[in-house]
Amino acid sequence: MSARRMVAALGAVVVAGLLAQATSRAAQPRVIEIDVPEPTRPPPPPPPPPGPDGQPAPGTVLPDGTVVPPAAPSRPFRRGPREVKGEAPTALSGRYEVVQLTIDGETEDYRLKMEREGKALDADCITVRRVFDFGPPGEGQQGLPAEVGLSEQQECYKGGLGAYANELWVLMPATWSQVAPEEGASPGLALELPPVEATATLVRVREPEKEDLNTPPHWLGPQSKLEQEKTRWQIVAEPPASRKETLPAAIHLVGPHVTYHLEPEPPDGPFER
Amino acid sequence: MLRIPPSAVPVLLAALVPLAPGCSLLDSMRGKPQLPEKIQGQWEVFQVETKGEVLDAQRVVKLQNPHCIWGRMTWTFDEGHVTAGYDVLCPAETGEYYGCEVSARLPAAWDEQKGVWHLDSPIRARSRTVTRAATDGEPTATTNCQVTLQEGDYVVAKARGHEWRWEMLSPDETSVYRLQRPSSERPDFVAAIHAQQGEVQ
Repeated sequence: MSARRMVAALGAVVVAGLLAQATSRAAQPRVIEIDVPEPTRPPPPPPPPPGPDGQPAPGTVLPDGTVVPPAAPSRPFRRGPREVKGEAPTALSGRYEVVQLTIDGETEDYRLKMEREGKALDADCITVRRVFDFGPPGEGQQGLPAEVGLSEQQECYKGGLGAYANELWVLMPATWSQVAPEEGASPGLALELPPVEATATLVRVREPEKEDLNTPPHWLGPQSKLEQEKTRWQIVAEPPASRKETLPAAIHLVGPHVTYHLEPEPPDGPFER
Repeated sequence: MLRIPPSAVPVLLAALVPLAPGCSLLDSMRGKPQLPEKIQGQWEVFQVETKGEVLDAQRVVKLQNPHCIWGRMTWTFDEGHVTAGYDVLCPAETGEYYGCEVSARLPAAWDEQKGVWHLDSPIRARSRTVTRAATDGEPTATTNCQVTLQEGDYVVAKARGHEWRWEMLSPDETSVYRLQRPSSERPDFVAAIHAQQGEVQ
């Protein structure tokens, strides 16, 4: 083989090797690394300014899906069962609120029950207090009042109306009678209340500009309703908590379907007495 | 000369004389007394006559609620129940009004012989609200309205040929309420404000 041919052969080998290397490089994908920043979420909107009891302020427009918790209770919840003990009172007066109720042997805190029912119905108003008002002492015959007041207080939040408290109260005649004594027991006292029904609604209206005949903004609150079927309650009163006290420490209203357990209403409500 | 056969007289009378409900023409001809007409549905008080004085219902409401600009009293009679309603519109902050609505409903029985609605027991119902400020929780506006239903007989009679439709005597016989159909089932507070502005101007 001549020298020229050997050089040409060597050159061909080198070119072939370079081509093969270039081909193998071209087959590999090119990787380009780019630093992409993580997507940032927009900051959450500031919370609405709080109103009373941590509630949103009146007129606050809340985002969809916002859950407004009811006002914090002013007294602890009671979860234990409640025994009906005591005796028939000879006189009754004062304001007593329902703290517990017993249905079919199950005792439940009144506020917890009302709160649960209100949330289940997605209600704008939560009932926080049910009060039996036996009036001032010394009224009626033999210390038993001729009329009994029944009221329900609610904490409400409604767009346009804001946070507000509502009280619906009815005054009705009371019929007192003796319950035949069971064997070995003293005679009991029964209270009968007539069937009543009352409703109430709050409306806010902004005054229209003069000579503006368009409908001004107005907001309608949820209707509050108080219903009382004709019921005959047996009254059982617990003795006063101390010798200084004169009023019963608790009163039990034993009805055919439900038993209400009452204690004196604390003077912390928003309404004047 | 037109001769009317005797057998056609009842037919002609029936066509000419409007019959009261519950009383046939034959009953009238036999001397049976006509039963009073029964009031039903929702009615609004537009006049109250008390102690010989006739007052516009608006004036009565304003006398009972001096700080309010408008109000109305309604009575609803349905099967076995009577409902009394009381609605007032009162100023709150500048440029704002609050409406307070309350109603009380009791079982009642219609006595078709006497023409009375009878209520076995009385009731008084009251609604109060307190709205609160955003910053300090202090009350910003309060509302208060109440309604009373007396026990006893409410005599109700239709007043024909007058501008009102019905008259109702309270059980204690101190007041006569004159009733007309309300312009709307629920109180129209917006119309009340417009009317108030018209009066001021």
